[in-house]
Amino acid sequence: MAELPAIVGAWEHPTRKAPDHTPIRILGESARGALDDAGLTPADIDGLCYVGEPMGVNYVTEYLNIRPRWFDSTAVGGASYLSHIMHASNAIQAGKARAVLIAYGSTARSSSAALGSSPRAAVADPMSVSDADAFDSPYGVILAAQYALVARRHMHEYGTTREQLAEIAVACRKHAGFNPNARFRDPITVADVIASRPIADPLHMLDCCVITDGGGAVIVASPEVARNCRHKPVRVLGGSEAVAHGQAGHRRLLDVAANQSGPAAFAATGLKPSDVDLCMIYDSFTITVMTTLEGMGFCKPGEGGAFVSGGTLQLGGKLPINLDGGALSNNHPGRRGLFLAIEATHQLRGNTGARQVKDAKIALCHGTGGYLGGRHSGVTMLLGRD
Amino acid sequence: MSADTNTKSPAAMLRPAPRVTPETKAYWQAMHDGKLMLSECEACGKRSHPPQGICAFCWGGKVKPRFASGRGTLNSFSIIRQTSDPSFKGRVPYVLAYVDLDEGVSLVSNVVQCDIDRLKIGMKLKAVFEQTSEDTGAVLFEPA
Ligand SMILES: [Zn+2]
Repeated sequence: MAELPAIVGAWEHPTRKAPDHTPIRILGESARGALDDAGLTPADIDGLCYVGEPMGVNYVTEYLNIRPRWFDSTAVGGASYLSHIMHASNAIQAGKARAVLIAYGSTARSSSAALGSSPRAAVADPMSVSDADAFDSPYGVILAAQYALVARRHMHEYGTTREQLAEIAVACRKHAGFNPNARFRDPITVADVIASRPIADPLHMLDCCVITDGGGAVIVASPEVARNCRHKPVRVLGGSEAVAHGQAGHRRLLDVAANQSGPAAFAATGLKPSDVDLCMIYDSFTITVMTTLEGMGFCKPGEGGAFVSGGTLQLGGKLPINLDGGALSNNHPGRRGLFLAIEATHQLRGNTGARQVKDAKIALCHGTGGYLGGRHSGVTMLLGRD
Repeated sequence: MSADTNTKSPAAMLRPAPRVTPETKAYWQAMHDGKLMLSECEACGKRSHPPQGICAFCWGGKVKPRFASGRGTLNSFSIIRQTSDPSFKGRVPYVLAYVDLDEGVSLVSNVVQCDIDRLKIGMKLKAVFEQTSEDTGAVLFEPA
């Protein structure tokens, strides 16, 4: 097999609260961190990925003073950065770039963004295609409740319990205990999750991700560039992208995007679920992880509740997830997809200390962007060490 | 405890009026007048919600309004206990619902006039309407 492009630099900003920083400053510091991690210089970067406001790429390239020959600003919510990594890998294979910077910065916490409980913005842009948001506005739809609709339906169809969902939060918190930068590190129990304040039943506070400031960056490079980088390359093995939405009123709530992107990602890479040593799953809410595990094929639809019970997802268990503590305990500045790849990269390098998955060779990252009960994206990516 | 029993809201408690476009004007006007409008494609016969100018299945341009009976079944629900939306802060707890209409399409709405303890997936519902402005409205559901 020809050598694949690889992640050669990965750096997560340690801040969780940065009231004196701007998003682009955090992005810039993260870019510097990833560059140092790779052992590259700004002049080596000839591609850029950024998700954000329209024309964001123009602003980011100006701030970093780079003039890349390839860029991408695919914007499908929190999963976007996983799309960027795969798009960058494809572009490198096509000879369009040699070293692509993928960077992110956010002050969601300092700017008091109520990510989970706020209504969607009423967009009045003449070029906007998001008219359909209007169909939610009279009903007080909040993001957490859209996920809760899926959770309730999962409980109804399969007998899944809140205790089983709570296992996911407990595993993430346990791993956060090994991460000195994590927002919350004290261990929690299933009972703690059950007893936490209800937000959008059946989801309670500890079923919901934290809100932090933060940022990070990744550099994807050609095999040639990777040979001269500081760390062993982590190969972008491939993956798949999908969307789910209202389907003109014909949507079934449990038909999530992961059901499509997961099997397609395994087909694209020739791998199977049993090859995976660890998962980084976008855990906006506990139910997001449950439906993702089923969608990826780690268990059958409806068996997620039994699957996550008994410590399966914890370090030392059969399928450890979110070793950095996840969005549920570590960090969530709004678009977590990039952090999935950063932690997976460090795990596959084998340098994460107390939270290291022993002899990790293959990592699966899955991001969900948007509203699980409504329109959302799902992006699955597999990474591997040589 | 009863969620959002105040179906006939005083003016101060009006739900936010939706942003109306040329494509959705008739839908919101119908809602104001107490009717839930779906669309049905003249070419392929498929029904859609929300209505749009082209069929979501065959992309053909001949779609006609079809009005729902207002009867449906509760597919799933969430009890919202916290929101930063000023229009809804005074309504918590309120019930977000995914409702399967008898016409074979589903939509997001609220269940009103129902004790939270009585909510149950599979329960039969009927549509009620609430005006949100002089030419828009919202569809809500009560136990049938
Ligand atoms: Zn049609």
